[in-house]
Amino acid sequence: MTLLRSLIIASLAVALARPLCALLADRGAPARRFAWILLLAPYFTPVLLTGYAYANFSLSLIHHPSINTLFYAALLCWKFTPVAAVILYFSPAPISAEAIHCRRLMQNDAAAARSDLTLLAKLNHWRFLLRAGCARDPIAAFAVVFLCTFGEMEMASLMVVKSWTVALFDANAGGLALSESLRRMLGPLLCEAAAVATAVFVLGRNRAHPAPRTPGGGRAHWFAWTYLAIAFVFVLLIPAAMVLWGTIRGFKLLLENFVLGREIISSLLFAAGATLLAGAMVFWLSRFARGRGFGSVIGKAILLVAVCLGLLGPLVLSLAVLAAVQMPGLLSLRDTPVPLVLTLGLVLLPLALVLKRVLELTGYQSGLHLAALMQKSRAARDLTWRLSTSGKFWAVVLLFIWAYWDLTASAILAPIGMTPVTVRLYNMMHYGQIAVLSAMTCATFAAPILICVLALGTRRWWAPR
Amino acid sequence: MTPPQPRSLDRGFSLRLVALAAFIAALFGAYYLIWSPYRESLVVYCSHDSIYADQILREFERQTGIPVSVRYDTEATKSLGLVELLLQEKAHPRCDVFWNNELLGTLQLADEGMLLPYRGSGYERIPAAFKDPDARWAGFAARLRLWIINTNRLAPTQDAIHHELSGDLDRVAMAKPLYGTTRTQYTVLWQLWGRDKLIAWHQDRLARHLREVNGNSTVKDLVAAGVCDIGWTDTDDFFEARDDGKPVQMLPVRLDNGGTICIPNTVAILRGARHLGNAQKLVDFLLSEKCELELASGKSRQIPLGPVEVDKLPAEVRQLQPWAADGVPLGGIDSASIACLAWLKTEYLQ
Repeated sequence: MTLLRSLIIASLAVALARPLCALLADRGAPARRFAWILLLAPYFTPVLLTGYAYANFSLSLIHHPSINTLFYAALLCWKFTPVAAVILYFSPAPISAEAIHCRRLMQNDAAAARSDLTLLAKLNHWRFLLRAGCARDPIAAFAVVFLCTFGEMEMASLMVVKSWTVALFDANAGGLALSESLRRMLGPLLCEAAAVATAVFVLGRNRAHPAPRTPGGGRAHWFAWTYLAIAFVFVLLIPAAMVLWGTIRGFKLLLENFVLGREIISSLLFAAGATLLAGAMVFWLSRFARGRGFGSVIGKAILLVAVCLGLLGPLVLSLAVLAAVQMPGLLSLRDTPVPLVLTLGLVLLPLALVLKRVLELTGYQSGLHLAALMQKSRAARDLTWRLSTSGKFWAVVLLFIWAYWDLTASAILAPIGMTPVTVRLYNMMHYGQIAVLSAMTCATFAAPILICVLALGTRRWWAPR
Repeated sequence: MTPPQPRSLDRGFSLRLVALAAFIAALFGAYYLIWSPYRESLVVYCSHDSIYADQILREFERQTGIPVSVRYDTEATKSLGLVELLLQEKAHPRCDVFWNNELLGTLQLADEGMLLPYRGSGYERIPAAFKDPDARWAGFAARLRLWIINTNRLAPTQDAIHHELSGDLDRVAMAKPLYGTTRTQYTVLWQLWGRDKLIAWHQDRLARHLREVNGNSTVKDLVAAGVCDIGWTDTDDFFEARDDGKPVQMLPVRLDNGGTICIPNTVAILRGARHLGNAQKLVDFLLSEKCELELASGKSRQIPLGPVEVDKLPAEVRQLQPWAADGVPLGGIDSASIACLAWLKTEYLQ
């Protein structure tokens, strides 16, 4: 069921991402910026927030589970289509629209130029596009969206939708043996491994120089704007409005009895540690992996093992780590933050690698070289920030927020006395929507954003001097 | 051909990463220093609802100065998750006190030899029916299994409930019986009816589209919203709906023999507890009259099991006391619990 749902959502997301890419290539800067905000906001909205907001609505659909599942699938599609759009946008077409047009002209096929191709000509045309590598990026986008939707658990749990992740999480909490959990994970793991292998293979291929994207036409733009608005409203605006409404009513109670302070600090620390670990692994191991020497082989091997561990997903990896720290030699680590930070770092690693690849694809290396030649001037630092460091900064922010909102690994591995905020929230969210809980959710939501804003203030420190 | 990224940029970034690592390590260190008492705190695993239990445990901290670190269970896997975790940690326990919101999990731990006997002042004030004769656990602050009825949809009478249960059960809700107090209800029925009758009854209910949901609070939400007409839940969930002004009424779940199901919280000290003295203080605190009164006066309206001043009890709790007195004894259901859980695991975890 989850497999079928994820396949359909991934296909839809890739199809919908095309017109969104055209919108993102719009020549008007304000419109383009607005489109980016509308596109990325649903993706960055924590699933706990969306799931919590729609939990009661889902309960009201208990007599119509198929409608509930459909609504859940729509939310997933709205949430993860931005991933497909970003991949397609930053993975430029291997051949430009002009080149395709030239080919048609060279074939001197008047019908082709008028776009009313015969079936045979159409097939030939598709074959040409496939051979030119035009299917690679949609396949990569499909694989990544599939991964995101297939492994989703929190929203499915809060919206009472059947999913292998929820079933396994609950079964494990209910006492399912680790070996049995791993056995049950095998099927889903194979699906995820296939998706990951596809994405890594396709995204890892060397490419021709980027061909600029062509902005879409009027009707496509209307469709894209409408889609973005709907996704923004359903994934972010309605949940945020509900939580804010609750926050207003529950704010006084929250101030009187603010019980989540320690949990939020714990989550921020775990997220910072995990982000740093993932970032450092990507940065240093990638450097080791460069070149051809023995060190490179070792670097590649370590990176490969770490990525494979990360791809196991938080549930399996956490269970394995939990089993490991029960062993006598590692028992002293059990009540420390090490198991959770390590697990979160490994879980973040594949995403960190993908981000690194995107940054490489979109980096302006020649401009960066010029900025470096300008030496220590403030203008050079600003230029370096804009050309290079800002990308890294936002990648780090993405990893940090991703780690902050983790639930699965946190629920299993957090040391006693350092319970992450998501675990407490997830627990309390099962009691239904109450004003003070909405206020807590709002505070939880605001904390990492505040940290990121503060970190943005240190941006000059990150630019090379 | 793009120029390579200058090595100085790489080196600079490396240094900043190292500095950031040191900064985050310092933050962890500072956190540990600020919360240093919590490194040696009393470790409590608690399956009671965190929104209620937290107040009690913070009050204990305030009164005694003993820091408490709590691990709560999720609503969906109520109590079973923590019991399984304790079993996994049996060789190297880190929990000092287990505050269970029901009895069966505690009985299982007692059977495994994981609980340490303690006869403190709290134990002495609890009636014999609600404590282990070997003092490995004691019960306090009970809840009742009951029907929650949406009064806009159904009259709150036994006859109306019987009529509702005679046909399609599309509008009747129940939490998954693998967990929490619904499991206790199934175990009691297992003991009363035997395996075959319970399984047949369960399958008949499912065949008639009984709505199985994640927890008792979800049952309460469904009935309170009028999505379902009736459901099995506990007294604390019922009062939450009633305090919210929902159109709900309650009736106790009556067994064939007329008895009710009164489920106490239980508290026990784990064998190998690292903070034994503090653990004993917490057990005495939880089993005290003051704590039982606090739980009775709180939103969950739990029924005191030990002697308390009756005039200090809220009227709703006084109304519950006669029903609680009809409760079937739960002390001897160990074997039924194990057998019933084994069957439920094959139903829900396979």
